[in-house]
This record gives sequence, C-alpha cells and structure tokens, in this order.
Amino acid sequence: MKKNFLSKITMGLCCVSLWSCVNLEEMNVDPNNATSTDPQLLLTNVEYKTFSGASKSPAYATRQLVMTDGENTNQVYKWSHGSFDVYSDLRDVEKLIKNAKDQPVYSALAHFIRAYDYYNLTLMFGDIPCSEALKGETDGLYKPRYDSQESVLAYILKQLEEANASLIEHANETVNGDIVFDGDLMKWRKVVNAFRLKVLMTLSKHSTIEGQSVKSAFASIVSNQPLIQSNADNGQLVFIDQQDNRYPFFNDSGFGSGLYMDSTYISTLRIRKDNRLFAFCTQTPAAKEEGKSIDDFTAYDGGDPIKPYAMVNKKATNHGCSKPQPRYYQNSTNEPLIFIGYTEQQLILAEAVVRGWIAGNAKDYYDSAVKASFSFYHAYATEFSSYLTPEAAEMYLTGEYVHWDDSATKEEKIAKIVMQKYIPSFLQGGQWTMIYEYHRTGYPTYRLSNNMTVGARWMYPLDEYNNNSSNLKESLISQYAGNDIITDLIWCFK
Amino acid sequence: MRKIYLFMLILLACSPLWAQITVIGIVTDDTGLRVPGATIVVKNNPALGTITDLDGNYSIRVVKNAVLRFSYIGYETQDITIGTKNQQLNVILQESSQQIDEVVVTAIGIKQEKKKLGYTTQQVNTEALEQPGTVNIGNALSGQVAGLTVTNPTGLFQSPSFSLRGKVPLMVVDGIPISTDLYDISPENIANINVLKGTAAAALYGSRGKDGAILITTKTASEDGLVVTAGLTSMMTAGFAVFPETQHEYGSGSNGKYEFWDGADGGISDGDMTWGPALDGSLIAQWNSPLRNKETGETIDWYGDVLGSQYDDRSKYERVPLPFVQHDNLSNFLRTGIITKATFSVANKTCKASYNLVGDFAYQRGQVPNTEVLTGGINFNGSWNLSYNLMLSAKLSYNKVYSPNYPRYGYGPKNHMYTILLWMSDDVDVNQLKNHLWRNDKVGYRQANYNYAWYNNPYFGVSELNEVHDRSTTDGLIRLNWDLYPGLSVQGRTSAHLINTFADMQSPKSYMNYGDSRNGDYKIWNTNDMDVNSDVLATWTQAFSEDFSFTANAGSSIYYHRDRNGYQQTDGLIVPSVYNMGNSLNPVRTTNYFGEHAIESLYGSVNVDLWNALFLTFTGRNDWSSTLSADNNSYFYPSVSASTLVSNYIEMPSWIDYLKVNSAWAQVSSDLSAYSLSATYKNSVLWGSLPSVSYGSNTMLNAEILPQKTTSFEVGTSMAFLKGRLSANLTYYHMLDQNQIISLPISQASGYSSRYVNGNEYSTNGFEAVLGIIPLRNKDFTWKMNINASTNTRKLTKIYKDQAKYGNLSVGDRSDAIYSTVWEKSSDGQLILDDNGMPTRKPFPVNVGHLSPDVRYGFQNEFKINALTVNVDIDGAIGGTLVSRTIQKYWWSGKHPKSTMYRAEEYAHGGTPVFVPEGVHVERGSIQYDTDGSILSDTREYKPNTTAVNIQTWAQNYPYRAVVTEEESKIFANAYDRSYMKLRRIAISYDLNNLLQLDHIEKLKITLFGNNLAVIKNIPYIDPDFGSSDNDLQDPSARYIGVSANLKF
Repeated sequence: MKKNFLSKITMGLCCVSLWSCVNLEEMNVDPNNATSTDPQLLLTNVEYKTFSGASKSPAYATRQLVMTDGENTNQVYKWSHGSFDVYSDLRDVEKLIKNAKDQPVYSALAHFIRAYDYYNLTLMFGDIPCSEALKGETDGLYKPRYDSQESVLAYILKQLEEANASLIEHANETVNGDIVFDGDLMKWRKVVNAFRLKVLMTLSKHSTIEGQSVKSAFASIVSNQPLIQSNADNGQLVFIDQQDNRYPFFNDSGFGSGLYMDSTYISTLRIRKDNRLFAFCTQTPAAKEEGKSIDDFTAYDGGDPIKPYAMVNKKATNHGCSKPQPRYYQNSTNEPLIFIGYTEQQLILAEAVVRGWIAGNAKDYYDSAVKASFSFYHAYATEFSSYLTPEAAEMYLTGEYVHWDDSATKEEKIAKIVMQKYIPSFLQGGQWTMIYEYHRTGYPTYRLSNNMTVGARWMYPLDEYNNNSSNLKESLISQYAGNDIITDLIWCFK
Repeated sequence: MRKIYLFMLILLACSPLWAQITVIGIVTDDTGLRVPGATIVVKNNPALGTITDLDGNYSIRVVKNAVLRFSYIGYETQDITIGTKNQQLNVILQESSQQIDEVVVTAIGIKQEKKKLGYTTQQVNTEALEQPGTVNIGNALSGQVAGLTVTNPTGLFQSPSFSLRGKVPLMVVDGIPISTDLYDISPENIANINVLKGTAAAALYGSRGKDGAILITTKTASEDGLVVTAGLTSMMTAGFAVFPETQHEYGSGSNGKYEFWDGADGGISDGDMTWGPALDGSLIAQWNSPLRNKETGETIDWYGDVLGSQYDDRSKYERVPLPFVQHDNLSNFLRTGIITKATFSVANKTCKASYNLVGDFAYQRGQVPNTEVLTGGINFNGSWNLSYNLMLSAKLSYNKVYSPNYPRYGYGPKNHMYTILLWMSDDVDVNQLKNHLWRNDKVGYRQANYNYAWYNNPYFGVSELNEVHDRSTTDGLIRLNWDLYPGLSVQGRTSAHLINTFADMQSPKSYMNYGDSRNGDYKIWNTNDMDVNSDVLATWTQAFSEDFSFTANAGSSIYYHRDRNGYQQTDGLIVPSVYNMGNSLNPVRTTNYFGEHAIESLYGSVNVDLWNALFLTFTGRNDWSSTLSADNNSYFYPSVSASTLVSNYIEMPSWIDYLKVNSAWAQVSSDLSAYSLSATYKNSVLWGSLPSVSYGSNTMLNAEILPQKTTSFEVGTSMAFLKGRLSANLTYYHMLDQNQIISLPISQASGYSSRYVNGNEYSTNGFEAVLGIIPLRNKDFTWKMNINASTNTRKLTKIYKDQAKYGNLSVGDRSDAIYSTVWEKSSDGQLILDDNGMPTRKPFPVNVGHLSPDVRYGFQNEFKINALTVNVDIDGAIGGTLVSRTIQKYWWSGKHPKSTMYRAEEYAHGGTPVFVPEGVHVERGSIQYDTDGSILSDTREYKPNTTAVNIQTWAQNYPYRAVVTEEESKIFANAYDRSYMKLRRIAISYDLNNLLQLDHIEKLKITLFGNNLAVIKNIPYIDPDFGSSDNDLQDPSARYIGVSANLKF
C-alpha cells in the first residue's frame, strides 16, 4: 500500500516537473545478450573448452620436461590443491542438455563430454560430487555431497552407454557447430566406445564395478560396437590459424627460457631408436655445432629430473640439453590435441588381450598402435616426415626393446604396451593419463630421488575446504582416513 | 527540453515584482588585513549568500531592509540591517570565540552553518587548492582531510583513488554526482571542496552517497565589475623521493654464465634473469655483438637475434665478444618530466547578471620517453537575475584529455618497469636499444632486442607501440531559483555529463604481449557515457522567534545513466605499421555494449534551531532503482542528527571559546549494477566461422536480491580555546553494514563458484581528530598548524547463515586481512627444509597482516611573514602490511640489491653451494590437517639443517614463492610494515606587486613550490604512498619543483 502510494507520488512529481516518465523494469532488460539459444551454439563452446586446453605440467611430472630456472612443483611432486574449475565448464553442458530437448542427439554428445570431464575429475581426486553436482541453479544445492569413486565411474559408464544408444537412435539427425567431427555421428560413436574401453581399463585392479563385471562389459563393447579404425577417426581437435583457435602453446614464452628435455625421456627413446624423438625435440646445441645429423641419437640429451635445478641448468649452459621442437611454440596450428585416439585404443585392446579380457592378437593391436603414432607425426611434424614413414615404423617394431614377444611375461607385455602410450603423450591431450597409468600398472618407471614418491592425486581445492567442508570431511574420512595427501592412492588404483 | 522552457515560463509568470538593492564592500579583520572567504548571507534565508574574494571584496543583491550576516571562522558574527538604497558597506570582523558560524555546502547543495551540523564535514584548505602544482586535483587532497585517504600513483596519467572512512565516496560537482578520474576537472576552476564524511552527511544523495561524498564547487563571479586573472605554472621533476635500487655487480645469465645467441635459451641462459657473470669487463658475446664469419673472419654489425637470416648457422658464424660492463639503465631511460599549465579567467558581475569564464591548458611530458598528456578546458558559469526573486544560472564546460601515448603499467611485458627494473640486466645498454629498434634486415617486422622469450626492447615498446586516449567531457547545467516569498524558494535543475572517449592501441609486428598477436595488432575502443540528473527542490525557512526557527527542504530527482561502447580488434596485420581494421590478416573481432541505469528519488529534510543552541536535522529519502526487481526496488534512508552549543547555555571558563557536541544516525541502502538479476547467453569463442555462446558467469545471479543496508552512528565534539589559538574536532563513528549484497563463495561443484545473496555483517569503528593550533599570531608573523589523524577498522562480524567461513575469512577477521601462502614451519616456528635444503609451501593460507594502515595523519603548517606565505605539508600512515611483488620478483630475477651475496664464493668454487639456510629437517613423524586447515596431529621430530644451497635456487624460492615477514627474515623479507611519513609540499608565495606597485595590475603572486619532496619509510625500494599494492609495479616516485605566477587585473 505504502509503496504504491509513494510510487504514485513520485510518478506524479516526475510528470508534473521536468522529467519524462521512465519504466524502471523495462530498462533492466539486457539488450546485449540472449536469454535463449540454439544447442549448436553451446556445443561449439563446450567442445572448445573441453578439448582445446593443454598444460606443460604433466610433462614435468612424467619426466619429459625439466625446468632449470626454478623449482617446478610437478617435477618434484610437491603439488598441493587441484582445481574444480571443470565444473564451471559443465554448467554449459547442463544448458546444452536442457536446450536439446527437441534435438536429443546434442544430448548424446553432452553426455559424452560430461562423462569425459567427470572421469578426469575423479581420477585427480577420488570421490567427487556427482549425483548432487551442478544443481546450484536448479535445486539450490550449494554444498553437494561427494559420491564414491566407484559410483562416479559407474555413472560415467552409464552416461557413455546412453550416449552410444542415443547416437544409434538418432543416427540420422543433423548436428551443427561440431568442431571435432563436423557432425559425423558415426565417428562420435566410435570415440564414445573407445572411451568406454579406456574407463573400463582404468578399473583393471577391480574385477567388478557396482556388481557388474568389468571384463564382460569390456568384451561386449569390443564385439558389439564400432571402434576407432584409424587416425582418421581420432577424437582430436585440429587447430586453426585464427585468434583463440590456435595451438595452445603457440607463442608460449616459457619455451624460451629455462625449459629443457628430461634426460630419462630422451634415453627411453634413444635406446629404442625411436625416430619420433626428432619430432619432439631439437639436438643439443653442442651436437648442432658439431654438425651431427638429425638421426644421430647421440645428438640428443636432457637434464636429470632429480638433480637440483641449478645443476641441470649448468648442463644446459654447457650446451648439453635439447629443447622441445620450435614447432610447439612457433607453429600456430602445430598438431591436433588427441583426447582419445586410435593409438591409445589399440594399446588398451592389446592390454585386454594380455589380461585375457578379450580374445585376439595382442601383437596386431600393439603394432597398429605404434604405426598409427608414427603416421600422426609423419603428418604433423612435416620437417621430419622422412624419418617417420611406415617403413620406419616397421623397422622400429623390430627393435630390441620394442618388438612384441608373445612369449614374454604378462608384466613385460603390459610394460611394453604402457611404454607405447607414454612415448607419444608428450604435450598431448589426455593430460595426466601417464601418471594414472603409472599408479595402475607400475609403468613406466619414473626416475626418483630418495624419499620421493610419484604424486597419485591432488588435494581437494581450498574452496571446498572453505565452502563445502562437512561433505568434504565425510568423504576424506571414508576414503583416506581423514587425510588429504597427494601420495594416497585413489580407490580404483588400490 | 520543451518542458524546461514551459516550466520557466510558468515560474516567470508567477513571480511578484519586489525591488532589490546591491550592497558591496570590503571585509577586514581587526588588524586591517582583508579577509578572503568570509561568508555573507541574508539572515532569514541562509541559502542566499556570497563569500568575499581573495581581497576581502564582496557584492550581494538583497531585498530592501534585509539583515546581512557576516561571518568567518575565528571571528565574531555580525548582523547588519541594510537600508533601501544601493550602498557600500565595509565591515571589520572582531576575533572571536565563535569559530563555527562558517557556512558550508552540504548534501544536494544546501548551505548550512557549520555549528548546526550534527555530522562531520571538513572543508579543504583553499590554499592547497590554489597552489595545486598537480595536473590532477585529487593529489592535492592528500593528507588534508581526516578520514580521507588519497593514493598517489607515481606514473603519468595514473589517477589517484579515494577512500573515505574505508569506503569509496561519491564525487559531486556543483551539486551533481558524477563519475570522474578528475583529469577532466580543471583545478583552477575549483572554488571550494567540502568532504561530507559520514553516511548521515550524504544521506540525501541516496544510494550513491552512501559512502560519503566529496563536494566540489566551481568558481562563480564573486565581486562586482570586470575581473581578469591569468596564471602560469611550470614544474619539472628533480630527482626522486623514492628510486628503486637494484644490484649493479652481476649481469644477464644464470649460475654465473651467459652468452647471447638468440635471446631464447639458444645461447647460454640468454632467455631470462640476472644471475650471470660479474660485470667486470670480461669479453662475452652479447645481443649487440657483431657477427663474425668463422671462415673469412669478416665481421658484420648486428643487433638482436639472427633467426631467419643467413647468419642463423652457428657452424659458420659467431658473435664477437664485447666487454661485459654495467649501465645505469633506469636513470638513462627516464627523462625529466615537465608540466606546464596556463589558465585565465574573466569574471564580471553586475546587478543584472554575472558570469565567470575559466580556460585552462596543461601539458604534461612524462618521465617515460614518448609519453605525454594534454588537458584543457573551457568552463562557463553564469547567472542572471531575471527579476528580483528569480535567478537563472547555467553552466557549460568542455574539457579535453588527450594523450598520443602514455606509459603502460601492470605486470607484464608492456610495462617498461617490468623490463628495465625487474628483468633486464645492467650489461644491456638501454642507449643501444634506443638506437637500434629494428633488426636491420627486418625493419618493420622484427625488433632488435637482447631477449626474444619474454621481453620487449623497452624503447621499441615506448616508441613503436602507441596508445591514444582522446576524451571529451561536456557538462551542461541549467538551474532556476525562484524566491516565491521571503523564506520560501524553489529550485529546478537539470544537468548532463557526457564523456566520449576514443582509445586505441597500435602494436607493431614482433611486439610481445601475452595473449595478443605478435604479428602486429590494432585495437579500438569507443566509449560513450552519459549521466543526466534532474531535480526540484523547495526550501522553506521560517524564524518563529529568537528561540525557534526551522528550515524544511523537499525535493525529487531522477538520475539516468547510459553507457554505450564498441570495441574492434585485428588479428595480425598484413602491412606493418598500418593501423587500420582493413589491414587485418585474419577476421576482425568486434563487440559492443549498451547499458542503462536509472534511480528515481523523493527526499526531504527539516532543520530545527532551538534557543540558538540546539540544532536538529531530520532527513529522509526514498529511491527506486531500475536494477532491482520491481518488488524490491524501493528503499528508504532516514537520518537524524543533532548538534548543540554547550557553551551557549553552560557557563564556561573564559579560556574556552566554545564547545559543541554533535551526533548523527543514518541508514542507507544501495542497488546493483545494470542487468545483474538474471543470467544470459553471452558470446564466446568464434571457431573458424562458427560462433558460440556461454551461459552466465561463475557468479550465480539472484533475481530476489534486496538492497543492502548500512546503519551508521557518530558522535563528535568541536571546541576552541584561547580565542581560537587552539581548536579541536573529534569524531567517533560506528558503521554496521548488514544484508550486504555479497558474492558468497560456494562449492564449485554446484556449477558456480559464488552466488549473490544478502548477507554478512561488517562492523566499522573509526576515530577522527582535527586539531588547529596557532602557536604565533601577530601583525607580522603568523604560524598556523593543522593536524589531522584518523583510524578505521572494519571487521567481519557475521557470515551469511552463520557459515564458518567467508572465503578465507572467519568471523572476527578484519575485512582487509591478508591471507597468503607461507612456508611450512615447525611448531616452534623454524623453517622446515627438504633433503635439497629447500622449503615447502604450506597448503593452507595464513593471515599475515592487514592491508590498511592503523592510522593516517596529515600535518599542515602555514607561516605568514608579512606578505610572504610559506606552506609546509606533511602526511603519512602508521601500520598496515604490504606484500611487495617488486621485492619478490627482484629475488627471482637476481636484481635484488642483496642478491649478490655468496655469488662470488660460489662461482669461485665451480658452483659448489656455500650458503647454509637456517632451518630444520624432519627426521621422522608427520603432520595431519583438519578440513579447516587446522592441525589434527603433529608427530614430527627435527634436526638442524646443514645442507648448503645454491644461492640462486634459494633466492628463487624462499623470498619469492611465499610470504616472508620481517620477523622471519630481515634479509629475505617480502612483506613489510607500510608506515611512512612524506614531505608532501613546500610552497612559498609572495605578491610581487607589493614591491612593484604596477598600475594596471592588482596582484602579481609568485609561488615557488615543491611536491612529493621526501619520504621516511620502512619498506625498501618502493613508495608505500602509491596505493594498496605494488602488483602492477610502480614508476620511480619523482620529486617535482615548480614556480607559478598568478596575475589579477
């Protein structure tokens, strides 16, 4: 009543005096942005955010790079809190699902991306909010409970299964704004199923997940679903020479100072006579001055990851360390970032054969993975194509530490398979995969000093301590006896 | 506009025709000195009045038989009844006890006698305004007002910022609230500045005035006849109050080694840092080394790298080593800053009309090469007595701020300080960089530089990258005053404040800036801001008896703000140095924005005077804002204030001149920014030709948000003793911020990192003191001192829904608490080191201090020796913590003056570490933290460290990667107490005409002055007066000296 009365007086005064009447409510409608959208516009953004990022940090932790102008926390396994930022990207995934009610095929892609993000999150921490997550806006849930890693992984598998089913059901629908496969839904199906295999292989230490057999789920996908058939089906983002579309390390200043190759990574490739080395890094300045040829493996060296960085720097200043190839920071498109590709899938299948999950020829899977990797660098590290021909790959596969030996032990076979995942992981997508593989299989072995343990997980974000502490506490007690330590193993690797 | 004319016509038609007379005269004190700034008002209508000019002259139009009241601080007020004819009336004021009859401008332009105010205001010393010696008037306010903190950034075109009782005050020019960085307000056009400190003082401004206000009144013609003045000021930098020292013993490189090849680690550590060999003249290949053909021995002059040239072959070419010697780069790079200002004014006042025209121009040449700022404007203020009781005033001003290029600040490669101070070593000669901007084989395409990983050639940066700022500010104001009846007047007013800005940035090819194309870049910003304020105010003043009178005001206003801007950006340039969108290599990106905000208001106030000793003021205002939902967009602000002159009814000893006690209470609210109620889909990445959108932001919006509320209470007293020789104003205040619109941090897993809610409670306690002392006063020599001090503490007293934490803050924390990463320490405070002798960062942040100083103070002295006036102003702060980024980066880069220790020993022993840091190793046991970061159990046992650590490694970790306080380590500290004391200004003025006695000149005042002269401080290398942090780095704090001449005809 009072409000109305006062309003009327104001309006009255306004009109009587100088002022034109203003509609306050209409004024506050934002003319700059839309209140509704087509799903394709969201899809472009969601795919971009999910697949375009890359970080040098895993390369330090997995002994591929060393830092010589400061202590890199990843290199010495002194990292602390991880980040929940991915949940912010998932906000758009939720909106994509909501806006795709009439075009359910977009939801299929959204389900895949959500599964992909949750997978990366749960492997970083262990339990994560899942069933109550992303409900801040819709349900007013600001302190979501944590779900056990087992149930998160089960949820991920379910999401992927639904994505696959939905892609079958809506196979004839059109998808626009797809920057990965330009709407080729069959390729998406292959990627979804390859990723299902990856998730199931992550569970190799457990025979079941929520009562379901891991092995039979794996076998059923292999026999019933389409899988990636070549690099052409790779789940990858190809960069464009245009603002915001460029390769993430393009013009990265970090490459110009204090960053060198890790000696253990170099020697890993050197003893295997792996020509992909030339695509990854330069010769040492000393070797270059000596005029050594590109394919002279003695022309490559790096810094010891466990020495104090000043000592490593000394070696570098003596022209003794290789650097990443300039293409990584001088080529605006360089190479695509693969989030799940043919090489990785074939190696997962090879491991499944070794583990007896599926029947088949492990050697074929293994060889095809390596050949595909060579062919990837043949295509994108064009300066070194002549060293990365199919013939070079064949030759490589006969090498002493490389060739597939059916009579080797299961352990030896798995070590070999994981090594072929590790070698092409340099500055690639998939991020921390090789840290997780280490904790799952024990391979590859990383050079460590006394008292050093390879970090297995990240502490929960500081914001969770501040803003969701009781749920976090409950989860820490159930997982890690109340501790939040980076060397504790997450459930799936226990 | 048609409505305005209509309104005027109606008013004109209604005006009765009463006769008016003009009174002119001179006001002097009992020693015969003319009194400038004395107030003359009509007794029963204090809104009608004038003040004396610099020479004590006044002129006023009044109705016949009016009673004029003459007053000035420190003198007895005199009431004189005027007859019926135009006349000259000279008045001699007697020194007095009653210093508080001064009239000041208060909220929405209402003039009030100071004694009647229940809240605190403080007028800025007009001397400080007349001799600003600054381009930005804001700097002249430093230390002048208790409770007003002014920061003084050291760079060209960096604006001061203000904090009043810990909050950001509203800027009001001639009664109209505006947003300004003060570069577009001419200091010469300012007559007076009054600071309304508390919530109660500014309550009539509604939400915009909730945090106090700074009222600026521009000049109007104040004396009869034509008055012409002209002034000229010139000043220059003369050394520095603070100059950042660096070490000069070691040059580029790492671990004592260096050799240039490509400036990106292709040589020996040539990508970064100052941990190289001693600058002892040894021969080392450098960026400016000639190239030598190893086979023929032929040499070629070359500057920069050789990438992409025929010389990029180390088996064939080498660099001829040059002596590795030291250069004073920062001193060589900076030049003398110059400021020249010219101003003129023409004023005329007759019985019919008066006008004042002020023009000014200022040119400021920056210390940084190729930077300058020009400001200028023309301001017109006029008023016309349309009839004896109807006055029309109008104001029109146009001010221009133009810079063809100004320095870039912030932490990054655009900032010259980032390069020269932090990262470029002394072996690089800045003069060589100046003479070789481009690589000689790639002019227009590749800069010549000593580094190609992180930094730009600083001269290339300032001369090839240009940023234009071109701003026009136009102000228009029209006001109609109608004295309907003695004691009753109505005023209508409309103003517009328009700001148009064009800004661009021209980046040459190969210019390095994170995120931008290195292939040349051009950006354009066009912004267009408009504020319109209209109001109507009626005032009724009535004296019912000697013991009871009152004034009532009622008004209504509307505020409308519009913001329109556009942005365009190239992605690489085709032809070098052609800055045009058409020259973009890839598609041009553009964005634009339109925003509107309006507030409608009704307000009123009543002032009651009882027994000439008790003064009560009640105000109320209601705002309706466009940015809140229709259900929540109305909010009311009440205020009550009381003031009483105790000395008027209680007998005081004769040495007490007067004693006033005052108190005020107010409640204010405020709204949101435009379009903050519901989320939208905003443009996101453009992938190839595919557009995309993203939903909302990381803060979840809340359509139901309510206005926030602040309740404030203050109590104060003013007193004077010994006939004005000593006076004091003391104020205590308490502010309670409730229902604040906060962005509450929430679990990111909810999809948002925070959400808007109404919550939290902050409690602020503050105390302000202003002391006036006149140690000496006689005809030949007067010494006046003005001392002010203030303290202010804001604490978080309640968190939304009683949550345990608000971000890092807990209940009881100061709102400016600094939570930072620190090193792991043992329970007895010893640094814990790992096997390599390195410390480890604690995973939970720790409170290391608070940002704001505990006390701010100012101390102004004025000495009058006959006609010579000397001003000495000092101000400063006590307490507060500053975590210095400059010092942290100094350590990392190796430029810290103390970073030279142990280097020589280490390098002499082939790099074997010699420095053994103080600390302990964990022998056994572990520590467990609770989810709130507190320690659950600690079973650690220690042994002392004996491991020597490479000094470079230590410097790049311990003093760089976490906060180290002065208590932890004197040498490696990066967090310091902020206390300082600054000699802000010395000015000496003299009227030369006292000697010359020139006929046509009335006055010729010469002032010699110095600004920012010296500082005593605790923190090394930087100026703590700069602002709350040095994260954006600061230019050396230059000392200015200058001279100004002011002529009056």
